[in-house]
Amino acid sequence: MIKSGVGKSFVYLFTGLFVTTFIIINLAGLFFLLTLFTQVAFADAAEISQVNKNCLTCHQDQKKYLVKGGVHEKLNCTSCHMSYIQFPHSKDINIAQEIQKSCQMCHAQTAKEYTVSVHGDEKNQNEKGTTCWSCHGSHDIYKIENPEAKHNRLNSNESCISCHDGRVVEGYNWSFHGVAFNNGYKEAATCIDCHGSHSILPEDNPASMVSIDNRPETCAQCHKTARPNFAKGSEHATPFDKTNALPLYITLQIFIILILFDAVKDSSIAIFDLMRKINSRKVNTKEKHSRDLGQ
Amino acid sequence: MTAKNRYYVPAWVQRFDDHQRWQHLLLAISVLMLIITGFPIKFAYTWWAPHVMSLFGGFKNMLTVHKMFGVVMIFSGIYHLTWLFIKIPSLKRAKWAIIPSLKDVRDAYYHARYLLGFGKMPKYDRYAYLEKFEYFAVVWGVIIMSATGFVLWFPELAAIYLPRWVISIFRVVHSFEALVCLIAVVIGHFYSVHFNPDVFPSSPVWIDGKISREHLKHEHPLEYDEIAAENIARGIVFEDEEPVQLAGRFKDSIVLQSVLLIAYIGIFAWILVSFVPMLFVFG
Repeated sequence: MIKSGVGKSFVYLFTGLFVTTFIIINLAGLFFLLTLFTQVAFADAAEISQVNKNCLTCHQDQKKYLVKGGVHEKLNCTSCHMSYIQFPHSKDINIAQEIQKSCQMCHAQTAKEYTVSVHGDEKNQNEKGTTCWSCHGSHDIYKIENPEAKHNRLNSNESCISCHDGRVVEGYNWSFHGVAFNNGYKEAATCIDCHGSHSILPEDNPASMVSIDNRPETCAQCHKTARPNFAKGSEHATPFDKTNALPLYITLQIFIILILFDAVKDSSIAIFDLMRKINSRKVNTKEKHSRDLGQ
Repeated sequence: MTAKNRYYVPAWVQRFDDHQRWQHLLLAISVLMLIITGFPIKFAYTWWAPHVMSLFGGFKNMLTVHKMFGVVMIFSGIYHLTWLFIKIPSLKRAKWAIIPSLKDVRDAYYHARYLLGFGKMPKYDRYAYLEKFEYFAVVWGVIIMSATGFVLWFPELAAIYLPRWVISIFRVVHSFEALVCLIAVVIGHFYSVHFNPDVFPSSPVWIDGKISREHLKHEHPLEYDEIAAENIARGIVFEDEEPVQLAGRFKDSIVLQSVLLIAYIGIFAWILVSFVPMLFVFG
C-alpha cells in the first residue's frame, strides 16, 4: 500500500502508460492481422495506378486484364494501348498495329529479328495473325520459366498447332520426338527447338535452322555431333505419305504383307487343327490316333 | 505285380540340354518384356498405353527397361551362337536336324491337306517343318530387331553411315517387325506349345528339357523310331508305365476345343480388319 501522494501519482502514471501501451499494441496487432488477410484488396487499392483507374472508370469489365503476377505487372493500360491516352479516343486506331509498335518500344532487338522471319513478313499475315501476342499472350504474359507461360518451351507447341494443324502436326505426333514429348519425356524436341522462335525462316532460306546446310547443327543441339546425314531425309513425314516419303511407304507395305502372311499361316493352322479335332470327336481315341499316324 | 509294357524308348527323353533351356528362357523373358515396354510407344495414342507407361514410372523409364531387355535378348543370341559352335562338333546325332530340306516342303503340303480333312498326318523327324520355320524366324527377328534397335538407340552414331531417310525406314522396320514377332509368338508359337489341346496347358519341354515317350511318338515319330532302333540294336529295353503329365490331359475337352476355336477366329478377324485397310491408304 502506498501512502504518500507522490507515490500514488507514480502508480497512476505507470498504470496509465502501461494500459495505454497495452491497448495500442493489441490494436496494432489486430490491425496487422486484418491486413494480412485482406492484403489483396489493400494491394489492389494501393497498386492500381491513377492512369489505370482512369481507364477503369469506363472500362470496368477490363479490370480482369490488370496483370497480376505477369512480367508486365507494373505497366499501365496505356503503356501498350498508347493512342488511348488521348480522350476522347480517336476512332481510327488499329489496335493490332499499335500493340506491335508498343512491344517494339522495349523489345526492339526481338522485333527486328521477327520482322525478317516468315511470321513477321506482312505478306504472310492471315486472319489468325502472327502477332507478338499470338504466341506470348496479351494480359497474361509470364516469365518464360513460369510453367504457365504460353511461350514456355513446354507449352510452346500449342501456339504453333493453333495454325499449323495438319500434315506437320500429324508428322510430329507420329515421330519419335512427338511421341516422347507428348508422353512426358520433355527433353524431346519441340517445334521451337528445331525451328526457332522469333527468327523462323522457310527451309529454302539458307539462314533457316532447318535449311539443308544448318540442319545438322540444329540436330546437334541434342544429338551432340553435327552429322551431315541428318539433313538427308524429310521430316514430318509419316509412312502413309506416299508423296514425300515413298521409301518409307514401300517399307510399310512390305511389312503389312509380312504381318498378314504370318497371321494367315498361324491362324489357319490353329483354326483348322481345332476344327479337325472337333469334327473327329465321334471317332474313338485309339482309332483316331492310328488313323492320324497313317498306320 | 501287373505286367508292364516293354518299350525301346524311355518314358522321358532328354530333348533339350541345360544350355538350350537357359537360352530359351532368356529369349522368352526378354521378348515378353520388350513387347510390354515397346508397344506402348508404338501405340502411344491408345487408351492403354499411358497406363502401361505409368507402371514403369513414365516414358523415359519404360524406354530404359526396353533397352535393358534388348541387351538381354542379344546376349541370349550370342549365348546360343557360342553354344552352337562348341556343341555341334561333339554331337553324334541330330547335327543338321534344324536345316530345312525338301522333306519339309512335302510335309507342309501334306499337313495342309490333313488339316483340310484329306489324307494322313505327315511323319516328322526331330524338328517339324513348322518348328524349323519358327527357329529361322527367330534368327531373322533377333537380327532385324537388334540392328534397327541399335540405330534407334544411337542415332548420332548411326548417322555417321546412314542418311536420315534410312534411319526413318529403320524405325518403321523396328516397330512393324515387332508386330510380326508378336503374331508369330502369340498365335503361332503359343498355339503349338500351349493352346493346342494335345499339350494344353503347356508342353513341359521348355522347363526340364524332357519330352514324354507318348508325345515324342505323336509329334516326332521318325525320331522315335530312330531311338527305338538304336536301343533294339543295343538290346536295351524299358519296362515302365506311361508317364502321367498335365500336358494333353484336356485334349478331348469340347469346352477347350470350342473356346479356342472361337478365340482364334476372333483374333484372326481382328488382325485382318486392322491391317488389310492399311494396304489401301494413300497419303
